[in-house]
Amino acid sequence: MLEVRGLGRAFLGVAALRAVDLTVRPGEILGLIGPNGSGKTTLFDCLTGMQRPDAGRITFRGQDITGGRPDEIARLGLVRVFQNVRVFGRLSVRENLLASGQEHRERMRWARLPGLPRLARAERADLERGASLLARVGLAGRLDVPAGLLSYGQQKLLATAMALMTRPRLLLLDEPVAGVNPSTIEMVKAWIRELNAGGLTVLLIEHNVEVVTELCGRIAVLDAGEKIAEGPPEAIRQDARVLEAYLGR
Amino acid sequence: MRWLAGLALGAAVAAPFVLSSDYALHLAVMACVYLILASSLNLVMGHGGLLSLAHPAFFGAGAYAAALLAIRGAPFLAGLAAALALAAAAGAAVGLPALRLSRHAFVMVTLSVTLLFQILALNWTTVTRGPMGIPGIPLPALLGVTIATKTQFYYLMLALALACIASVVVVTRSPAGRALMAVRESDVLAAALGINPLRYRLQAFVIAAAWAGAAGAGYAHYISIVDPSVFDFYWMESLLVMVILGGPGSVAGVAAAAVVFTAVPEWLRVSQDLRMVLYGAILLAAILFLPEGLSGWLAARRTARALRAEQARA
Repeated sequence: MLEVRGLGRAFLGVAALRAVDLTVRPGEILGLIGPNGSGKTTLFDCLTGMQRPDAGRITFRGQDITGGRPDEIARLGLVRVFQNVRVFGRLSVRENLLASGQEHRERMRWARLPGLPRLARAERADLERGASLLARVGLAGRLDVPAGLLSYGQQKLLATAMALMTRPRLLLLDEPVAGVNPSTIEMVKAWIRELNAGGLTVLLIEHNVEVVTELCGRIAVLDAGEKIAEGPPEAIRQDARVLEAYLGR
Repeated sequence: MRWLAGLALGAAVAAPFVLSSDYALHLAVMACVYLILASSLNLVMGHGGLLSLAHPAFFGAGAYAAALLAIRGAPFLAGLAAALALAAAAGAAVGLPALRLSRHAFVMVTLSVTLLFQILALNWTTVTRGPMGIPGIPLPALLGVTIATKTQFYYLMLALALACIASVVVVTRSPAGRALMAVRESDVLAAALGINPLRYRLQAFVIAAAWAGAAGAGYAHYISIVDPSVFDFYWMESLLVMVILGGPGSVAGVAAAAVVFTAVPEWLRVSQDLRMVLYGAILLAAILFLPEGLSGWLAARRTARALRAEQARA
């Protein structure tokens, strides 16, 4: 699904990523962990075109996307959810969902004018999908609320629903349960598992060790910009280099 | 809202029968010019969230294009089409590089474009005749009818203004308009969801520029002379007052503000210099106390009331 080879990225000579190799297999949930500042978010930025890597290659479904434009990469089906909450604050939840889905329909160059039946049909279908996503996370009936007025946790759920509106093939989640209350954490866990069972491949950054070990079949560990370990959760827990990175010498 | 729009339309059509003096009719024609300029700028500023000071540049470019063609005997519609096309091309040429810049840099570049166009009009004397301007622009003829009276001009400009407002409404209700507003809220998030920020910003910028050009063509024929004052900052300040007080992103609010701020200063009989000072003060106050304009303030009140009702139910 996704192949990263020798990825490097430096800021003013300080290496944020050093020759990182990473493979995401179709249908899996791959966990990405590492101490603060180890380069996880920089890696996501490089994968989604928000930063240009200095070295290495990124291949997504057989296509070289290294240094591609963010919107082009997203239209290929590689979509991220940000760590800090991002929604279109002054637009209603409805408009947030529609805006997220509309670049991912089948080519409809001539059906982009309001009032055309084809556009109305497509938007109705998108809205139905959006409403069922909202219902899944307990936000049913909030379609007309400006997204900026939702609570922090609700905005986070909406942001994930918006990413799903794009019909991604690979979803990058950056700390989906950080700052979220315990009952919501359980719901998000079940949701991710459900989506994965439905065929969605997930690359997950998460600090909550419990969540990562429960969800992920494999875990990759970054430390100071280098991948220091990769494997099933049990092996990672006992890896000497991982323990050293987290606990210090 | 719908009946209010219908009422406004009815009033606009009936206006020449009610307005008694030539001077009042003149203001009505100018209100239409401002309606086109403010409504199209609103697409860029309100829905796009981009403070563009280049609107007078496109307005003036359209005015000069129409004037130069008309004095050489070209029919009105050809001049109008040329003004529209030239302004759109200028919009694309300015927007393509400028829209890649930061917000602040964009403001400065668009301001420079207006200043540059004025310098061009003043000094490219072989074409523009410099400060003397281009006088003697003939009356436009449309379908064999010569537009000669103020009332005829009013209906011509009103038709243009309604077409402009209709196009803004269509754009904002289309997927492109939704994408434009999403980019305004967060270009990073929009791009992450597959929306190309530059594409939709450029679309809006070019459409707005084209309408400014059309307004320029109509204005040139109406006052029958074009000189470098079409690029004056006075236009920009008036437009800013109309868009900001009307409420950026509110089509009806900006349209209402365009009419009000054409008429009120005239009735108050303040001199142009004093008007600039007053507008400056109004702008400052609006940005401080009503950042989303009067219509934004009304909308916020509606939302707050709805939220209170929801909380009371819960």
